[in-house]
Amino acid sequence: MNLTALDEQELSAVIQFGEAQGTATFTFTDPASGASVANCIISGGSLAAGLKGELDGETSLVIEETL
Amino acid sequence: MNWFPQIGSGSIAQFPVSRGRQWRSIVNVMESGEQISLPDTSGGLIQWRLSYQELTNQEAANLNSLFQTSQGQFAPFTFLDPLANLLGWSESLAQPGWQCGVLTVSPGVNDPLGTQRASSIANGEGGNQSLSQSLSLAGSVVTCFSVWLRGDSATAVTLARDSAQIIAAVTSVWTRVYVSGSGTSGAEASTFSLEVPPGQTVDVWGLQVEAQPYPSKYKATGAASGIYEETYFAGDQLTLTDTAPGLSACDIQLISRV
Repeated sequence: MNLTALDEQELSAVIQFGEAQGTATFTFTDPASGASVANCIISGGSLAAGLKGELDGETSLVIEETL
Repeated sequence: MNWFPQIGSGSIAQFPVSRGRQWRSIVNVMESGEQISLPDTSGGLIQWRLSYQELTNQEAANLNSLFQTSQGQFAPFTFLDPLANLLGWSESLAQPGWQCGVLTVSPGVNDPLGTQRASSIANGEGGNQSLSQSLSLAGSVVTCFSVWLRGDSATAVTLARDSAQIIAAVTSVWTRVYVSGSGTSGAEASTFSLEVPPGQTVDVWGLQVEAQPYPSKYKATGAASGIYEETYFAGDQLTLTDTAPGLSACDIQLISRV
């Protein structure tokens, strides 16, 4: 997922989610189907975030379903 | 402990700033192919990329001084997350970390966003009472402590960082107020407080402390984070480029152990 044009509040919400989850599993709502997918993790154990300007935040992360 | 310097404006960073969080797991692959993964909570880190333009000679000297003192990537220093609200549990005032004294705190109050994430704090005592939280912030660090306030009856509350304080009027309309500046000289920690007069009830939302002189958009928090006491320069070279008479630029990479 690549999220762009985020403000500080939105970017912080993603960062806070990452800090709270760490390597734990969570339920992710598939944006295409709307289905709830259990046992997802932040893949690769990494979360990149940046702020290029006041309303120009971006973040990228990979969400992986574990079986 | 050394602190990563704030530039003249009181900010930690300039745009752009990037943050890369990494978690480490211990993975065991069984003979059957089954993989067992456990978090290694002591192995996390955050990589920072900071880019500075138009630094004054003094600002460049402060960065260079920290680099010299740290001997490049050898010794740690404290770095404050420029993107973070440093307060913990900004919407859960009953959590440890907050000191409420004998104030009555009621969550689930309407907030300026139309949700119910504000809290009502009532002082039924005969004297002033404070809601406060202490952070490991040196007195020399410039911060901005901000909060949204409203009340059914007009009153005034005191917003303070240690002995620096402002008196803020509370009306029936949500208003954001802040107190900005450094704390007590030589102090190792700072206490941020909101003092309510006797017999008054005030709704509060959006409590935030940032390492900068003015408030930015409110960021809700869970457990306190953002003060990284084990941060290192990522390399043994610091390049400062003169871009104009008396002005410099530089790119810095840091690693915080979390």
